[in-house]
Amino acid sequence: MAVYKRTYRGYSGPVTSPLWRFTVLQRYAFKAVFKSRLLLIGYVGCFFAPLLLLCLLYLNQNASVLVLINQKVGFLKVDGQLFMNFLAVQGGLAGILTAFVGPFLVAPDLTNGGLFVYLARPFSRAEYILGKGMVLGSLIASITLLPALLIFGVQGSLVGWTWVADNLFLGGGILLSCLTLMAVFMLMGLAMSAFVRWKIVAGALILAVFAAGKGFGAVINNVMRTENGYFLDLQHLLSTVAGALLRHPADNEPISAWAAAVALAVFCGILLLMLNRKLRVCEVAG
Amino acid sequence: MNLWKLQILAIIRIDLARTFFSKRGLWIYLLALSPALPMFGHWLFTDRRDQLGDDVQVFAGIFQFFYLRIAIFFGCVGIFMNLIRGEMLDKSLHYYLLGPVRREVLIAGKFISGMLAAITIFCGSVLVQWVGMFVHHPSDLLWAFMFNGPGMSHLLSYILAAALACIGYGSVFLWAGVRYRNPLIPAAGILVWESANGVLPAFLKKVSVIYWLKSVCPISIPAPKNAGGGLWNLLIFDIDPAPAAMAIVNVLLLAAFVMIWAGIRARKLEIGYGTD
Repeated sequence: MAVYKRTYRGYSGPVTSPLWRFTVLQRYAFKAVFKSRLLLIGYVGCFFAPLLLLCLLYLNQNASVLVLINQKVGFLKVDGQLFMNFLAVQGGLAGILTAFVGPFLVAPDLTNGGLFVYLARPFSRAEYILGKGMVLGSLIASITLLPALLIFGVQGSLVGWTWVADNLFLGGGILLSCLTLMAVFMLMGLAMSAFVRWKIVAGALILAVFAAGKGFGAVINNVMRTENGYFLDLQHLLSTVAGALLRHPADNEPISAWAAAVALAVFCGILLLMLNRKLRVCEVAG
Repeated sequence: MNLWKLQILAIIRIDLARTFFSKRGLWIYLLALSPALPMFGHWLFTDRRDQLGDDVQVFAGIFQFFYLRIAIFFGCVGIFMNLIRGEMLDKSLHYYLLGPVRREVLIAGKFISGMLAAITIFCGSVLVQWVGMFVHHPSDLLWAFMFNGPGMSHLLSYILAAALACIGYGSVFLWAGVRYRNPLIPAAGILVWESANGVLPAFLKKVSVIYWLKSVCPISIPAPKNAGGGLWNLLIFDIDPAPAAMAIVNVLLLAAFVMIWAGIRARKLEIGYGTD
């Protein structure tokens, strides 16, 4: 075919470094996510508990105010249990956020045949997953990891660095627990979005994986008179790992933290396989 | 046969095939039959001979904690929201809306088809689970339990509770499918409301489906003592049950009210394929 008008010219401006190319995807996906006003309100609502806890921490060390309400300094014990409870609340909110944000990430690209537009560029599948996943990852981190570390830092600054030195394991525990939570939620959001292209069903499925996993695990435990059903209970696995990292394991914990960590790793592996299977643009027959 | 009945039958015929045989609905079968898997596993792979009374308690716990609150709830989300929003996704709802059929008749047909599918799947699964749970007991003991004891009455109560759950939740989710573009938001709201039923004041407890369903169940599950699971323990909190007859009538009235509301709402139903 003859080409009459050679109006096309290759882009000659600055290009993003290959290392950070996935952030382009993240930037544009963020804009799409926050178009929903309801989601924005929900996201802002996720900061209620951290703000409340920060105020309580301040009150906890403010003797003059505590006298007015007949409390003593240090009425709130800041230890692993407090951070476990905080992460449980914020983790629940992160799960709901994943159910609403996750389906909007991959499903539209697959439904509308847009995946090849990305992958036709110098952009690998791993970068695509990372770029889309970081949307969820950064949202989850902003309501779990950052507030928890902020609370840790504020408590340290109020009480003194001796407390920080004594409880340094809490900082490490928060970091690792939140990274595990992020990895599980990120992969689940993307995998469900890729596997079930209908956004509403994908969102329901994310909620159902938590609820049904917990319920089915309890069914297995009761019927088979075993404790292996806990391996299907994602919430239990996450709290077991977090409990061990924050040195506050539950009484009579039926499964070990290592076993829970391995089960979570297997779960993430399965989600990655599901993603890998679905994110294929085309197969050229030789 | 009058025209409306013929139209409803035609809608049921089309939708039943879609619900029962679509690939999209496969997970509903898995969800419905999932409790049966460990039950048959228990029968096949364990040597232990449990007391019949223990198994009756375990079955009651599974039915009320997992089956009613999770399996049927999410199953109905899948079946009933698919009836309207699924058609939007398939870009096929306009065939119904362009046809000479009243919107109320369309909603009634959709509801009956979804209800038939849900009742068949979930009540059938109750039967399968019952067999899986009790088949390993000696046949004479089982015969005595079923026909000279409370077994048959328990089984019928569970089947009735499952059917009422399909009708109650189904009507609410079909209404949500008609009313909302993203029915996941009301579904999440209903899940939270139903889960918190155990700690609500007595009057508010009755503004739910699960309260009436628990009233139909033959055995009440005691509240957990020092059990792990945090907020999830709300799911197994005990209630003061209402009489079974009142519970049945109330669920049916709720479904009728919600369906009439959905029918009226459907008059304003507009297609927005591009946005779904």
